[in-house]
Amino acid sequence: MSDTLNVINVGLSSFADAVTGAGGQAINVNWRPPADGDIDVGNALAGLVNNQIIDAANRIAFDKYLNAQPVLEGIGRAGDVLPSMGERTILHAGPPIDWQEVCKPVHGAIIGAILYEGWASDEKTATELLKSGEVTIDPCHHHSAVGPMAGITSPSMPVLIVTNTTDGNKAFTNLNEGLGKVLRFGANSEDVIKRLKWMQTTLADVLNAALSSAEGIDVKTIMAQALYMGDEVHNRNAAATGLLLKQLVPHALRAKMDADDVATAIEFIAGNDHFFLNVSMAACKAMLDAAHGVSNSSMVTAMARNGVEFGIRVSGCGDQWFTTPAPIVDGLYFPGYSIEDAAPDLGDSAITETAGIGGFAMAASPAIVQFVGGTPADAIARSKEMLPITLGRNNALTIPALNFNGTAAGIDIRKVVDTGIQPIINTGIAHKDAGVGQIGAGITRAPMACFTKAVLALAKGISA
Amino acid sequence: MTSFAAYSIGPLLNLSNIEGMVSGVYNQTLNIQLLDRSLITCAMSNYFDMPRGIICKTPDDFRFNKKLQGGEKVYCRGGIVRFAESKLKIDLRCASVWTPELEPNSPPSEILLANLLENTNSEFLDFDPEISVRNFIGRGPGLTPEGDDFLVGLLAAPMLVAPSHPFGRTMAAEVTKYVPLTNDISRQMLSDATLGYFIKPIIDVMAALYGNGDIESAMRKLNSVGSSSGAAMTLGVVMGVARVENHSLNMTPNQIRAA
Amino acid sequence: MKSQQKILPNIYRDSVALMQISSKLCDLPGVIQASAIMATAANIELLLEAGLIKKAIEPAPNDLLIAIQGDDDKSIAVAFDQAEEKLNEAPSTTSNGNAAALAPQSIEMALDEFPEAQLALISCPGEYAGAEAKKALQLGLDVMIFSDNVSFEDERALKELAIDLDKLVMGPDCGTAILNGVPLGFANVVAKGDIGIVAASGTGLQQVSCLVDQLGAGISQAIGTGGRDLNAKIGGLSMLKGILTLSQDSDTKVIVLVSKPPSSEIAEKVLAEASTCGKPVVVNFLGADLATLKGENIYPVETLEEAAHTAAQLSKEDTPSSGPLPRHSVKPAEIKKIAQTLSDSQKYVRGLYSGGTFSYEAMLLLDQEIGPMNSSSPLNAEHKLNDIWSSTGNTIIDLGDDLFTRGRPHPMIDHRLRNDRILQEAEDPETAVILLDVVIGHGSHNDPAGEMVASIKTARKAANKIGNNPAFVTFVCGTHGDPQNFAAQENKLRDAGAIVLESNAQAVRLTSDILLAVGETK
Repeated sequence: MSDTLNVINVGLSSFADAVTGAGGQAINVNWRPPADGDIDVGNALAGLVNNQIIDAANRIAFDKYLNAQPVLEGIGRAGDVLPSMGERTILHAGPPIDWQEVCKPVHGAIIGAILYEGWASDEKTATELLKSGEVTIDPCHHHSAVGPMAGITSPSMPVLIVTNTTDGNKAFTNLNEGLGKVLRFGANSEDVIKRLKWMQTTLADVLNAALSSAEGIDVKTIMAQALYMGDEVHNRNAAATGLLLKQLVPHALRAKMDADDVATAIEFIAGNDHFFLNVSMAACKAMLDAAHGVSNSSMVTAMARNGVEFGIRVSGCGDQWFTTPAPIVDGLYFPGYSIEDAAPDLGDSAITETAGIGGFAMAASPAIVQFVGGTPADAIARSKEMLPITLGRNNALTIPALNFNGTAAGIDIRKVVDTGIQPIINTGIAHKDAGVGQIGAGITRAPMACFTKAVLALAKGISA
Repeated sequence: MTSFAAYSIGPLLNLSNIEGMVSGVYNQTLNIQLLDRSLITCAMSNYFDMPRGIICKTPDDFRFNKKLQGGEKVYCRGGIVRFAESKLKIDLRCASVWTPELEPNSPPSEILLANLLENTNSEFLDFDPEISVRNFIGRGPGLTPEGDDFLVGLLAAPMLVAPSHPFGRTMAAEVTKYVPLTNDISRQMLSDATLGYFIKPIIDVMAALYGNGDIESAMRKLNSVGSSSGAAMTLGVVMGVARVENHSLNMTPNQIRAA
Repeated sequence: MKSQQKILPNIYRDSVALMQISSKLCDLPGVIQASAIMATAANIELLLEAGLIKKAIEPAPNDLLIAIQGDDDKSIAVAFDQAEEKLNEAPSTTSNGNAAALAPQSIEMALDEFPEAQLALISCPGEYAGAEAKKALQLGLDVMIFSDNVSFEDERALKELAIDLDKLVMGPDCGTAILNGVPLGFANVVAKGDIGIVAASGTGLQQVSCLVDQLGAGISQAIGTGGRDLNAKIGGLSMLKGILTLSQDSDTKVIVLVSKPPSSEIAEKVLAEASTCGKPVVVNFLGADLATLKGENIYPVETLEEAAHTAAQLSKEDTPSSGPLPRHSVKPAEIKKIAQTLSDSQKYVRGLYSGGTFSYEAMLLLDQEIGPMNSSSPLNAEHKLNDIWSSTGNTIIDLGDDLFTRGRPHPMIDHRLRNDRILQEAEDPETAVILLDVVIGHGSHNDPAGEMVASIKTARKAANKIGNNPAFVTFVCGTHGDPQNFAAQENKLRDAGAIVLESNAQAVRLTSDILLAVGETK
């Protein structure tokens, strides 16, 4: 007989003490009811833990994710290159939503897009188009695209094209306008439209020439380098933007276009520390789409918000969105603003955390954690906290502060619900009114309800 | 947590019994000594099957000795093997059991064997199981001493195609007697050999010699096992075949042709 | 309201650090608004809009600008000082990059941290216990479920899953086990040996294991099955698995089964498994007709005490003696004396038990020798007490029953309920004998006898006042290895004038003899 007993104790901690006192070994589980106390979800979850079928499916999905190679290949007109993009469709961030339910920044941005497209010349007419159904809205995600904040993408807009060269799937994203009064925060004034037109023509032309000449820019490499330079490639993109610019400039110069146009284009990108965010998002989407659609896999392939709801998608659950009201983010606010002014969490940018960067890579960007008064040790702790809820680590995206290990990647809905550890997201905070802009930034958690709903669906799918 | 799936496991593995300690870590393989003192081996993708092997699907750049160290405790729960310090998991549940089967077609010819044995050292040609086993056990360089590798090879033909041949019976008895004289890795290999269990490259050479498959490529593969182990095994296999087929070992190919 | 601003040239801090400082400044007393920013054009614009500065200033992106709006000059000055202090702060010395490992938040996480784990011990609320147990089984662990309030269906499903996975489920409602010599839940420190126990009763397991220890033998494994395992809905699955496990365990030579009698169908299954397991099996189905417990290698016994003795004899390979064990060691003359010190009105027993199986065994034995006992959970429904908080006639109650423990700790830990009841019985002129169990070991109070002695003294005083002197009959369920010091516990009781027996059966039989003697003298 073995002369010791090794016990995992769930419940009264005195039992663990009794075991160790009697010569055994015991570890206490810091237990609270899983799934926020929902017994049905808890029971459904119980059948999924250490489930051979799910584990095998997850290996396939995670491998596809790790082997994806996102390459920025070009730029194109949204209406031409986005799959199933109608000529009167406007895409938005987050899960599906009725146009009448959208939050104000998204509403303002939709109107702005209609004006930009020239389908109407004032807000009233624009609204009529929506009412009549002549103009419809749809999630970016449904067209292989992603967009930050309101994420509004309309047919005439230029979109960057990122190809996963391993599997061939593509992902798209609009161009980042910069800070201040911009469409993605709901501003739709003439200046905004003017800027969008300039981006559609001059900026897009320069980028087109540069990207064609470059013959594919490896995005993962830029992200990996940026993680060593203080970026986490969601809220901190300055280094990555610089690295991208380094690659683009020689090609842009060689393109033999009007020198002034090239200069203004470069200045525009250089002046926007978040330009790379959109590229990062598209790359993450391309990587995660490769992992999507593996039967019985519990790996999360998208996290997105539309300012009203927070939604996730799971590899083995098809196109289904699992949604719940989007939380208000409590963080730090710019002077003059407070939590009362904040819009609920908004944007497709949580795709970065879904890919194990952004909030998951906080250890690369300790400045970020000061948002909640923490220390660099806290940043590392938050990054490590994600390990128990993920399938593994990134291979190419590593962080010095984690001993050069990859960041946690491949969120597993089972582990989120079982441990109660919610994925952490770094995010900007938009003003709840259209057109005001970013008013702060903070750390938020993906809501548990999305994951409990997904667990129920996956459990049903397996037993079927 | 790094997690691999095993895709092929050896027939001598008892899945309810996998608990012990890492006893050796190399580039492509890892040895674990179980509580019953038997030795099992974890190996990376595309490594050859072994009687007590766990072949895992690993990333191209994975090396065991970059991740693990000797002395680590190993436990198996719910079909998952966990390494206590390195946070590595191996999932055994989807693995199929390697069941080696040898269906001998036709034995190799005298000439073939003579060619293969040309220029072999007389020490090996004069091998007498009742005397030589004791001398060969534990002898020579290598993680598995060359003498042991030769003996493993010698056991192949008797165990796999000629179980009633007296050569085999004597070999098995003598090896079992002297096996405590060598190290635990060899000891495991030799004991398993006396029970009729061999690594796949040996099975493949036997299959090829008995009419199934290309002899040259099978022998090349066996030769390349380990640093010097393979060559010693190959020689042993060929000699074992010669013995059980009652071929003369002291005639050159020309002499045989002349006869 | 006053506004002031300061420029700190050539100092860089990133926007987040600055926002943090701004946030802290805003919290200071007397500060209305405050902001620390790098003096870029955009930031200056922001401050103008917020009203923190009155007119635009020349942008200087490498300079740091602090603008504060406050009640008076003093508050503003304090705020500026604070701001500069924070800007000059060295990085925190506690941030060493080595964050403490996160405590496991799930069984799976715990197993990843602690891969040598063999058993999950579950005592969370019952409505979640089934799910936790299922996860544990799937992860490859055996399970002990202390929690109750798990449904029959869930228990059955769990045990069937355990069979598929070749694992053991102890419980639900299993409070006692001893595995690999380690006591789990309410269990005693007993010597290691070759007797294995499978019990559907916690205190039953405790009594048998303690007596085995006192007889000089030892326990290999003591497996609890949970109180409902032998119910028809569950089918005895854990007991069957327990018998199988012990039959394959090279350290176990003798097996003891303890339970209330199962249905005949289940009894048949259990006895079939027991008689083919290859080892002698002592069967104590309390209250069963021994004639029905037949089989190869089956040794049916009536009491827990007998189970222990028979097992010990089998362990030493003695043929178990067929005669009954001595009733107890108290001489007839003493018993007569006790009966004579009782007053005329004193004629009944009041058994106040903390262990359910003990009270059950007491009712069985006394029923045979004296007559039916009244109880909160009697052998026959017609003897149910009208008011469980008040005894009538011969009464045996289990104070550990849910009926009594609702909303309070178990009487093995919290003695107040029993102490009150002891006093109450002593003040009842009809009480002749107060029968008590004292259970020590892991999980129990650290001095049960001490508590009881105080109570006995108070009770006796109260009884004496009304001219009574009830007899206190007790036994200590424990071993010399238990943390509470077995010998000291027995001595304390004796010193307080209680009679201390070796087992429940002995205590009950002494009680019976006293009552019969009372019957004779009156």
